[in-house]
Amino acid sequence: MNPLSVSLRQALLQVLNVLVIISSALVMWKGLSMWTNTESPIVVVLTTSMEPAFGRGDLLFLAKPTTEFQVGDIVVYALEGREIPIVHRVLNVHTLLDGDVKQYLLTKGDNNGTPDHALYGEHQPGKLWITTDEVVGKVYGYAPYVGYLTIAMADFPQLKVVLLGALGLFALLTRE
Amino acid sequence: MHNLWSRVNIRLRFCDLLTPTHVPVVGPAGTKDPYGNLLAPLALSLNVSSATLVRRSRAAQYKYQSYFHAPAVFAALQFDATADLRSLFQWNTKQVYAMVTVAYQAPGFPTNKITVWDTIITNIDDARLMVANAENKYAITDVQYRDAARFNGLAVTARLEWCVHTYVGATRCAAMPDELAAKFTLPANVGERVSYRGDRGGVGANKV
Repeated sequence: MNPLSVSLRQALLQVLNVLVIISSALVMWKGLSMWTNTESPIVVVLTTSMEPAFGRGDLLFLAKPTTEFQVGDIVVYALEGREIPIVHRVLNVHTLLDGDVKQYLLTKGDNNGTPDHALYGEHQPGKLWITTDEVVGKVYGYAPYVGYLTIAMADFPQLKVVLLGALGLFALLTRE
Repeated sequence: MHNLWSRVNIRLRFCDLLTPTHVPVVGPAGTKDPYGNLLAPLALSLNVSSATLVRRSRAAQYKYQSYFHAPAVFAALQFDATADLRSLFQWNTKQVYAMVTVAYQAPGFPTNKITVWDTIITNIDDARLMVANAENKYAITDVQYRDAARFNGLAVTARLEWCVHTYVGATRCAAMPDELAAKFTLPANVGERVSYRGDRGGVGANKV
């Protein structure tokens, strides 16, 4: 049978199938976000500042704990003015007795020589600690190299178009 | 049972039943050997030999790289530490991050913990940690850094802690038992140095 001679009904059915797949993927992602209590439960490491523990392209699994952060935890935090969050280790922790801010944290990348004061002060001069609100999540585990595809897609946008095009073609031309 | 694949399949099915109890697991406080015995790091010791409260100065700022603010007082420690972390190096261990932390309580801040020294061990040959007369790598300053009297006579606890990072999977951290932690008191005034080693070269601070 000629694969191009599909009826309108079948074409609409295929489109609907694709939409169901996309929306269920979204639902799973949002569900995972809710379960881990963080907006980005899975992130990719972009820099070498945490070598040798995490290298470029490693996938990190995050969750935001309800208890306090401990010294030695690896956290992902987002600073105002920086679009990309940073993955570094917590060096110092100071817990407050009361108030909105629960903890003051000082972080440092394993591969860096000094703590992150320079990073904090880039857009907020005089900032010496991060607070728990700026922390996206704590790293609970990781998978090596899996995220390299994301980095490749960022460096070569043509790859994104090619992949999406291939996926779209595959979705439209397969038959149940 | 007529071909190689079905024979291999049957062997693997038996292996499935046997593996769970025979695989070493990287546990929270160390590792378990194949027989389920907990192997914690051996020969753990941490002795703080002296503590000094250093007044704010350009030299102190440069030493501890605190270019972004000028704390009124820095605490400088000297310590010896040993740890045999070889048992943490199992099949899935990528690196061990060992650190010495100092914990104390202060008015308004019930828990404070500062990492003063750290090291990364990537293979089992370097896993026998032995440092003597080490100084703290990172600045020991309080969050209320403008208060010069913050550290006067403060009781602190120094601990050796470690985190095991795996090739794939979860990260696990643990600390030395409390009885081995070094508990001592910082000098009473800024500019003073207290030596915890007795005249006879004793083991250093381990009691308040």
